[in-house]
Amino acid sequence: MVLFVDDDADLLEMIGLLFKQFKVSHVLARSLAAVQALGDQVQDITTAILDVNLGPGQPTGVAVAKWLQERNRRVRIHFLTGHAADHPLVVEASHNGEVMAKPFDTRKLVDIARNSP
Amino acid sequence: MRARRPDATQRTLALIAAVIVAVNALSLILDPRDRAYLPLFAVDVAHGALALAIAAIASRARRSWSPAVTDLLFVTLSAPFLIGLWLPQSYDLAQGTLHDPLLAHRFLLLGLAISAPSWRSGVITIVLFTVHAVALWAMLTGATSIPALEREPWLTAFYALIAGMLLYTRERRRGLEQKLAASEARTRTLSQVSRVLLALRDRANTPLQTLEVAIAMLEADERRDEALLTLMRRALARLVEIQQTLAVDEVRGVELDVPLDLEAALRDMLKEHDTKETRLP
Repeated sequence: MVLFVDDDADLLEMIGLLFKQFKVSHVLARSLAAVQALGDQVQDITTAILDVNLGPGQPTGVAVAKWLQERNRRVRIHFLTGHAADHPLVVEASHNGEVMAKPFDTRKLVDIARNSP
Repeated sequence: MRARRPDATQRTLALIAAVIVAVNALSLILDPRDRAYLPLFAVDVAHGALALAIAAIASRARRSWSPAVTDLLFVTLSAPFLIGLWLPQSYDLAQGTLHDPLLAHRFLLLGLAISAPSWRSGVITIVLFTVHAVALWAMLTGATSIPALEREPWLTAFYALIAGMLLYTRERRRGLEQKLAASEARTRTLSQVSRVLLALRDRANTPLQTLEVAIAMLEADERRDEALLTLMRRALARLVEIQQTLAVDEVRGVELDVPLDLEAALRDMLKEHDTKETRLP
């Protein structure tokens, strides 16, 4: 199952439609709190696609990745970001998974989701 | 709305005026010549009152003054010393108690050099009081002969030279400080503009991503309108191109907080703009 986390409701809805169109098993969340609320579903996540910046005052995508990896070591992490490559958060994220700059090619996102183990 | 406080120049002028009030008050209390010689008493009282008025005006100023107004007030504050220095020496000459008649001039020249609000008012007052000292020396030399007058007017001229050099170095340092402050303000503004652009770019990325996914989904549809999709793709590409021009952080070396907040960046920039006037010297 693919977990997609972004604080933008429109993108989240659009990704939901995309994954549905390509028959990708998925779950969507807007924040670390929403991911934590998934409960046992976290164990089924094989790939997590996380926005680096989840909004002012919110834990970042890196925090979500760390929380997930502490509970599910086999999860693959991919980050999305609008920041520059030398942004401190992006540098930190790059140590935890692949980082893709927004806006990226949708085909790549579909490939990642379909190739999720 | 909060009342504006006097700026640094006005506060300095108020302080100089307060010192002059104190000097005249002390003179009235401690100098027996003030009590014995009515014209001197009247001049010291008038000078003290003028200085008090200027101190009050400067400390209550609600608007910045132009350099010309500040210079005029400084010269106005200093000018009564021309009479206040002449009268006691005339009195001492008449009483036969003349000792070092240009001593006060020498102190005053140094005082002018360290307190003048500008190069212009500093030069004007130093020249004025040097000429005044020479005129007083000429008058006294014609009337009496005391050892202190033998080394004059060169000793006082030497003090005037020192005062000029002091004023020059002070003004030079002030000029450099102003340039440095202006440069720092420019750097701060550039940094904040860069932060706003960066936050804007960050904010624009997600809707662009939404459009990218939406177009990709339409392209996957068998009944798609190719012409329409081509136009949408082209428009998206142009938006991405504009968004990439906002990648200023890589060239400006902006110090980045995490995460970037557009509203906070805009707030900081507007706050900086509002307070810039009070921060600059």
